[in-house]
Amino acid sequence: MTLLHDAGPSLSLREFRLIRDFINQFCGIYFADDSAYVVERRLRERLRELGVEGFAEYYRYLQYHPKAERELEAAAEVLTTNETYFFREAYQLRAFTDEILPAVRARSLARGSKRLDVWSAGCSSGEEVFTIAMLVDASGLFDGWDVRIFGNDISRRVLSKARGATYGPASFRAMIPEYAKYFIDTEEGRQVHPRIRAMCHFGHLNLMNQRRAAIVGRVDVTFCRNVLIYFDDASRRKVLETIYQRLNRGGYLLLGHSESLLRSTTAFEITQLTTDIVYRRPIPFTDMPPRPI
Amino acid sequence: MTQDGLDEAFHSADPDVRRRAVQGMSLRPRGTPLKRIVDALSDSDWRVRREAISLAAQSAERDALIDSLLARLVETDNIGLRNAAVEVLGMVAQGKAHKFANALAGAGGGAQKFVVEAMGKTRDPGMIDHLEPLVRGPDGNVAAAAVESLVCIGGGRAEGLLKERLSTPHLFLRISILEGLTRLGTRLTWSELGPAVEDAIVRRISAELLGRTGEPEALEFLLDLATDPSPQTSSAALRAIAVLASETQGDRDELIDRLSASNDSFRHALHEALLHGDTPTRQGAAYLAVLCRDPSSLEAVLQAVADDVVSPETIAALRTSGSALIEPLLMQRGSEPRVWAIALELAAELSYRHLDEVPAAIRDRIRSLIERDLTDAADAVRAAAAESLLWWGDPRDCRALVECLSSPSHQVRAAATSALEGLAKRVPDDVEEALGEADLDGPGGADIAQVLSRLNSAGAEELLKRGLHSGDPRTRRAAVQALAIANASDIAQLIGYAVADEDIDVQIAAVRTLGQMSTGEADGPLGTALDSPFAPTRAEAALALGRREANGAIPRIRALLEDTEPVVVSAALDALAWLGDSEVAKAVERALSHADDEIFQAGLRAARTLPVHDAERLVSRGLTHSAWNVRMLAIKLLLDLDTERTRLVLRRALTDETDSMVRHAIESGLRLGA
Repeated sequence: MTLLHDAGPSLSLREFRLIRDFINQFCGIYFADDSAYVVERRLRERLRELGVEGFAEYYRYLQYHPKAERELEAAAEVLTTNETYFFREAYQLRAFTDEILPAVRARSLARGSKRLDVWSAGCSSGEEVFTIAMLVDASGLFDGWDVRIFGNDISRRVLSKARGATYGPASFRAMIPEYAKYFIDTEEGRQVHPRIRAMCHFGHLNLMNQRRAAIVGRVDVTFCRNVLIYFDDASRRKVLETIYQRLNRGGYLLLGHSESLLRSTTAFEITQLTTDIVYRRPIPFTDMPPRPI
Repeated sequence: MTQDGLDEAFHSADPDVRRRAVQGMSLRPRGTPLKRIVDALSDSDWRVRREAISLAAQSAERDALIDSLLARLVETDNIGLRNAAVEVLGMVAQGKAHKFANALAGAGGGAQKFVVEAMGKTRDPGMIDHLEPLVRGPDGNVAAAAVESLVCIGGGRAEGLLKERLSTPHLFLRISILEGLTRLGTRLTWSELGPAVEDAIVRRISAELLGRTGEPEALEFLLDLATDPSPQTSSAALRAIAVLASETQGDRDELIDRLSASNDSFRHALHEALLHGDTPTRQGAAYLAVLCRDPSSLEAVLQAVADDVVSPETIAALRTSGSALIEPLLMQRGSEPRVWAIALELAAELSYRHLDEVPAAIRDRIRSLIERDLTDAADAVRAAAAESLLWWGDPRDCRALVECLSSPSHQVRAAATSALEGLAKRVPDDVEEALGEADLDGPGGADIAQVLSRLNSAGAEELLKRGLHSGDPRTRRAAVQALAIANASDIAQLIGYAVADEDIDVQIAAVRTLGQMSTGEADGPLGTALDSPFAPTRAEAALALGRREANGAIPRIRALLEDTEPVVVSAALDALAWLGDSEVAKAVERALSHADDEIFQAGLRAARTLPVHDAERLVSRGLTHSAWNVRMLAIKLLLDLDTERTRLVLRRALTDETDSMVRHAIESGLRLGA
């Protein structure tokens, strides 16, 4: 089994749908019928690892084996694409720095708090988490604050890479030169500066598991970019409910540029910023400062 | 919240409070007055309107709601209300075409298009009669809205009407029709499409339809579009050419020649798409670049393969490229490791397949590159080198390949295993000698066992027996499986011990292996496995005893029907059916009223073994099950029974079946039967 050579059991449409639906229930990822060949190719690696002869047997493994949950995680890991890079979708990050961070700061100070919590939901190998930390640091708005940026993913492999915080050239394709100071060159690649790493935390979390998501605590901003596009409608709604619960009132939700909540939930309000449109957990009128007369 | 509380919240100044009030009303939709629903649909906040749409869809006063919304649609200037009304009508107004016809008659041109839009959203084919005159009508805006509605409704008649109007002289309308046919997935012939796309503006949005014609006449237009400055147009054209190339039947070679002779701007567009396109575009561009045999795009194609974005057709095309590709592939040495890994493996395969055409110097170079890359730092490269030895391997390589089996990378181990399995057929003694020093307790223990199973020698058998004592359960499992493949003698007792292994996967492998043995010695450990604390082991043991026709085990397997685990109950039922147990009919009745899908399916399979009359009746019950896979099984079993009654039952099931795959199974099954 190499990048080119790919032999092994074939996946019938029936088996594909059974496995696809099972994985979907577990972690929300959804594959259309025309992706069957990709699923076949990627899962063959799992079949071989488990010594399982065919996909029908693999389906039974997922249903009944005592180690099924661990295997579901492994399947989700091989089936998801984890590609990301520093400073992805710069226009949105500008909105984050120029408008969201000052607003969050003002709101926290009004509450008498000097703490900033940001959640990167589906953080992959950590580039987004570290990008957020660098932006927060460079803004100078939170010096002396308790800043916590939490990234989660369902893949243990990418989390391990995130914790290593060392990256090759592909992660820097949209790098902004002025942030180069936050990296140290090493033999393995460019490593994120320890001061930035100290703000960042990672955890293994399935976004579909609402109960476990409580470990995220309450956050001021959630980044969930290019994650929900892999989910079906029902799973998307479930994840958005979790995100809503985890956001402080008035907290912001940033999605990928092609994503929208219009068909999924009405719980968030749309906020038009100068360079982007973002979503926000509404602030009840009773919590708002009185209007000047 | 109380009714009074809801009323107050409904009038709150805070839109989120209003939204939640409407959401609360959805919990008791029957009690919400129509006026309140319509007021909520007119709210200034989109989130309130969206909740109101869900509320309206549940209204009990359906006719009154439709009348009210149609009236508002024609009268109102409130855009939010209008959009919400269109959406609600789409959800609730099926079978009400006459109401729309009346609304159309009373509406002016400006308002008519909103009524038409709502007609489409209903997806009700009954609306087509009223849309047909509008598509032919004089008002361009209304006609375009009618086109959109026909596309929403879809189906043969809507498609036919759209095709008929392709000759319209109105450019705007023709563009709408072509976009609609694109979305419907319609396949037009070149003679239908050609005259409609003579205009350059129209052509820009017709790339997909041009590709779908499958006729080489469409190529010139598409090549032109592929070099369009707009990346969207260019990408769409490239994807369409890929479709055209894969679907063209008779003149395929001519089409490929034409593509290969295409100009620099086309090749530049192809290259750009390969590097920067989205996944479908890269997929199409990679296929075209391989067909064109464009060496300048080779690295980008290999990168696309490494990124797992190419289709199986592209891989197949690469593998049949011929010997001319070998040298360009070898020139990729120095590229990114994954790209080089693919290039090396492909070069090795092509040179082996075209041995007579490849100069000796190239063959030697490939051979030495493989040897060197077996110790490369990158896993992908080592795996490619090992896999290449499937073709180029000889006794010299056995030791290096066995070393690869201790790699922590499963990719490298898998490739080395497959090469060693190949060598085991040609030079078994060399493989055995190299494996003699292998570490069965290392990460590659399971792979070593797999190779040993191919050797068919006493020495290999002894090594495999050693594998049964490995500290790694994966190796023990593989050794059990390998001993069965190697057809080792007198091992039932040894494998019997593995039934008591502490690892469930070793237990299952042992049970399966014992199930395949002809010796009566296997029955004892299999009986023990029926008491395993692991449900999958109990299930496998029941199945194994069933397959071995171990009639003496029937009473103990019957007892498993009371097991708490569905996997065990369903296996016991399968086993009892194979064993022809006299009490299986009773178990079938219970299984077919069970909520668990797996037990229900085992019930269907067991029912199939009953006398035909009972089998027909019982298996047919699966056709109304809520799970599609259960219905699929019932269909398979009924087609297998193939009686007049089962054919009738299947034909009836077709009327209610909504799942496309299940419908297809019935239709194709009945056709074959006929």
